Formats: sequence, C-alpha cells, structure tokens
Amino acid sequence: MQKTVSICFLLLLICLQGVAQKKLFTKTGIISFYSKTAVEKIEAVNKKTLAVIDVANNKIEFSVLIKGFEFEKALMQEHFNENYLESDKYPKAVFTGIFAEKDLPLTFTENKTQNLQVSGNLTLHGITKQITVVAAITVKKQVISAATTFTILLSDYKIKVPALVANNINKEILVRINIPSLQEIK
Amino acid sequence: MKRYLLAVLFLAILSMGIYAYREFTRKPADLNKSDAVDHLTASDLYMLYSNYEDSANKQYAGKVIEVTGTVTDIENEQDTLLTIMLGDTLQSGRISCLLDKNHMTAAKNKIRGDVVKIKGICTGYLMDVELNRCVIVK
Repeated sequence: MQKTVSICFLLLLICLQGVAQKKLFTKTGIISFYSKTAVEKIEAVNKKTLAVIDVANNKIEFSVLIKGFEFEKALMQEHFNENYLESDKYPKAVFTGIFAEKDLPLTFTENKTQNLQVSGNLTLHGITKQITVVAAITVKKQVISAATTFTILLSDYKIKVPALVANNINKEILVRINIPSLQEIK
Repeated sequence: MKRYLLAVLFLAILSMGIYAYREFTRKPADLNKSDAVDHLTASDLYMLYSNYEDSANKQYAGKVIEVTGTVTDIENEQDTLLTIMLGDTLQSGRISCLLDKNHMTAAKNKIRGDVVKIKGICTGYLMDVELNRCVIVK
C-alpha cells in the first residue's frame, strides 16, 4: 500500500515537473494597431508574430517584424516603414515581460479565461519603455490562446508625424495582440 | 491666349488631382505582376540570414524575391492563413512563406516534398526567414 502511494506521488511529481518546465510558442500571432481621427482611420495587421511563454520562469516574449505590417493602402505602408517606424534602421519590435507575482504559479485550466498581469519592456523604433498590460489567457478544447489590448503614445517612442498629416494620425495608438493557439515546444 | 493658359492650368490641376487620388488609394501590388530583385534557393537565403542578418536585410528586406525550395510543411489555419515552409530537414530554420489570400488556391494542391518556386516580399528574420504576400510561381 505504502509502495503504491509512493509510486503515485512520484508520478504526480513527474507530471507537475513537466507542466512547470513547459514552453509555449507560436509563429502566427496576430498584432494589429489602430489610429482613429476625425480625418482618417488607419489600421495595420501583422500575422507572423513570434511569441514564447516560458511557464517555468514566468516569462513572455514577443517579436515582430515591422515590414510585416500590412495596410489597406500601399502609400500608408510606405510612409509607415520609411518615415515613421524607419524599418530599415529598426526592423523589429520586441516585448520581454514577466507575469505578476500575484498570478503565480502559472496554471492553465480547461474552459477558463484568466486575466494575467504582465509587465515588461517594449522596444520599438529603437526606444525601450516599460509597459504593463493585462493578458487574457484561455484554454478551450486543450487549445491555449491569448489576447491583450493596450495603447502606446507615439511620443514615447520618438515617432514623429509631419505637421501636414498631424490631424490624420492619432497620437495614441491602440494595439491588439491575438494569439489563436500556442503550441508546446517539445 | 488667356483662355489657352487657363485651359492648360485647369488640365495641370486636374492631372495632379487624379495622380494624388490614385496614389492615395493605391493598393499593395499583386506580386504575380511584380518582378523579383533576386532568385535564390531556400537554403542559400536561410544561410545568408542566419549568418549575416544585417547585410541580408539591407539586400532583401522589403523587396520582392523568388525562392526555390522543398516544401517541408504546410500550415493552414482555418483557411484564412496558409503558410508554406521551405527548407530541408537538416536546417532548424526555414523560409516561412505566408500566401497572399487572393492566391491561396494555387497552393492548396502542394504537398510535403514538392519542389516549388515562390515569389514574396521578404520582411526579415525571426525564427525563420519571413516572406509575405507570396504567390506560387511554379
């Protein structure tokens, strides 16, 4: 009897260890951003965001290629890359963050959405700023998905908008991140 | 003479207006109609990016390139995102070709092991070399 309990305990420990060391990732996360003013509505989307959640170390990381953002209008895309984000000089945006201590240890429960606080550094246009966001992580039919929405100020990242189009672009940009499914790194 | 000058001025303003409108509403080009700046194998492109990312970006990022390689994987997410992975089994990274949504049908009959030629806009390097708005050439 004691032997059986010990074996069960050992198996449970092995299982928990497996969960704790888990790394989840996707290469097809979606980042979109929106700017809305009375003059113009601007929207762009990038469907090739790399995201990794290191469950053991409570870390989360996103990387996205600036040239991968697509606009409805070609001229907007050209201005975005050449004049605003200077994507030749700064080709990537990166976020590295950690989950808030109050939400630890990270557990993912079936049919449940958890709102987890994440703080970290967002590097964009060569400038790194600390941000805090709330990420909704959902598990449904064993698929783990994540989503968050936050705003950034153009001035925080030294993104200059020419006076001629100042009324066309909102100074505060809404960013949406949607990760439809995260896979386990094996 | 004055009437002639007014007509010329009117035509010039009209032409500028039409040009500005067309430029403002211009959609991103269909890559089937665009010429590639270079033709490479998937293996050469990956090696270039994994060893010399900065110079590879200077050469190819934002430009249309044509890549030939073996299909190692096809990732289809709910028929809205179709990605063909090109490379070989020896390399950890590959060329990730996100198909143009208007040209996804041509890619649906491709299977692992097929050798294909794909044209796309190189956007840079994350885990793989990324190509966007891809079309199948062959």
